[in-house]
Amino acid sequence: MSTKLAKAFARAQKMTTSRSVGKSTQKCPLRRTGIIVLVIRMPDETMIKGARVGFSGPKTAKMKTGSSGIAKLDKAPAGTYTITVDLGKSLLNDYAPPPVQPPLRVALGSRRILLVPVERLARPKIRVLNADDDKPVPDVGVKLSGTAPCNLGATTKAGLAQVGRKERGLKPGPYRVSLKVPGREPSSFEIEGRMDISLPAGCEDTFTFRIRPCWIEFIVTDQFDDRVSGVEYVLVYPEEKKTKKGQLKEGRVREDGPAGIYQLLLKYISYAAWDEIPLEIDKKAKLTAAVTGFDEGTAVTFDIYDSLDLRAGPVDTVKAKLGKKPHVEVEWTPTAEKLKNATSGALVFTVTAGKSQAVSPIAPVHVVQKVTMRIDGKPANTNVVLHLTRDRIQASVTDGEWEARVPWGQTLVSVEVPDSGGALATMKSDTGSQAFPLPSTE
Amino acid sequence: MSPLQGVNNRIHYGGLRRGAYLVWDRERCWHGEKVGVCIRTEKVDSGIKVDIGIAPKDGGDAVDTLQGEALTEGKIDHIYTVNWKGKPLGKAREFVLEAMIDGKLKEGPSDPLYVELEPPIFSA
Repeated sequence: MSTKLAKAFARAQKMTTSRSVGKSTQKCPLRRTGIIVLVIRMPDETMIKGARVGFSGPKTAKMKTGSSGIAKLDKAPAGTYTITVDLGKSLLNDYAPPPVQPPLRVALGSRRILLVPVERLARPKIRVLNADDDKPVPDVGVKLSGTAPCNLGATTKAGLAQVGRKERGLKPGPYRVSLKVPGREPSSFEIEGRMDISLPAGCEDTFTFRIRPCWIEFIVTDQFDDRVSGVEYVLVYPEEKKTKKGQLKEGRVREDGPAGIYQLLLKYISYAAWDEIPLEIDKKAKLTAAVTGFDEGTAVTFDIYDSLDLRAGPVDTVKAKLGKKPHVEVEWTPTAEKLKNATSGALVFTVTAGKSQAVSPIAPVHVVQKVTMRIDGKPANTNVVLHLTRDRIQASVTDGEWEARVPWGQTLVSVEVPDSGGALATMKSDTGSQAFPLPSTE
Repeated sequence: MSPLQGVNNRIHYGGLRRGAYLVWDRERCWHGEKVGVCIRTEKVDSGIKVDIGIAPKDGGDAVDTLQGEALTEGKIDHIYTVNWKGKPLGKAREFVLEAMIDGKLKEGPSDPLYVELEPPIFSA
């Protein structure tokens, strides 16, 4: 028992028993039976003044506790009493209702002391700060659930929410705090601090919570560090639970949302390429493009041009649809018929999806010519140089056969056989046969 | 380009490359002929202005410029008349295109255009 309570109890006892004064004994001034009720605030054991105490039994009475927290029923006949303690309106907001007292048996000639502990209600403060700068966050709705669910309302400019002065305090016990930030889903901010709190009787502590709004920001620039506008994008939320489409403005995408890993898919074609260069007439080629951000099924168009004659329009077009993977691959075969008007000997393709376009590298086109070469009637084994309209090709002919890869659009101008100058040669190719003396070279 | 990816409460930076492909529509022409100047762009918005310079392949001052050509759906097809009379061309016969897009994206040079500046000489 604490000192405070011990003193109160002693004070009450003095009212009931005789008091030792040296060797003499003072007779109890209260010779008849009675009850002393001591109303005491827990846990600080302060006596409560003004509590209304009702006695009903052989004698009935109503009275208020004095400054010592004591209500005293004197000259009460022996018997069983029911005692009620009521704190009254003035105390009700700050104290829990006193526990119901069991009937009290009072014997003749005795005085009973009844201790009535009353718990002071809790008046905690909830403070909400921004975790990034520790500044108070106003207008955050604060609710407590648990022992006695309670809505503390919105935080003030100082970031505080608490039970109003005219409202009843909170019953001691465990509570769970929930915060509602205006305009935000609960998942779109993180809270630092334990949401479960325990409120002892009379608690007036301040519980601080730091909230950190969850956001994500992407900044997209070009090679000049200038922010890119106008490119469409798809923002994928964590765990792909949600997507959001938009258009880059000032190169920036900022979004408030749940915590996690986000992806920003820019709707554009990041590259276009041939799988193999040079191309060959009548040999399948693969055209690939990396296409990101577009929906599955988006039309993707490959326009193949003579690398010089873009204005004439494509020599061929291949259409495809975007699948699940972020790239598209199509097959296309250059043929003599398709390239009959292509004079540059090289191709380039553009690939378009939506508003995005990419241009492939230039791909030279070759046509394979099977050449058989005989010198003095025998299959040639020699070095040979074909002089074409714009280029020349150098190779070694073995057993009179050679597969020459001739750039498309070029024709044979002359043949040089450095090792066999002056000999009579016959050359056959897919386009014909020629017999001629080989030029002498030094 | 792989998607930009990152956790919340961070700024994530990513980049894309703008580009252009520019080309003469032929390899050779006579002085006085009309030739095509073609540009195809990547990630450049329509309406963006393009300045095109024509310069000797081996270096030197621009022979001519096409100022403020506007891109339409990522392309420019411009018919250009080779008319350089009185210009100090020296021995230059091959000329390339260089483009300045939106005042900052410099592309080129293109493959050269061989310009026959002298009239043909025929043997008797």
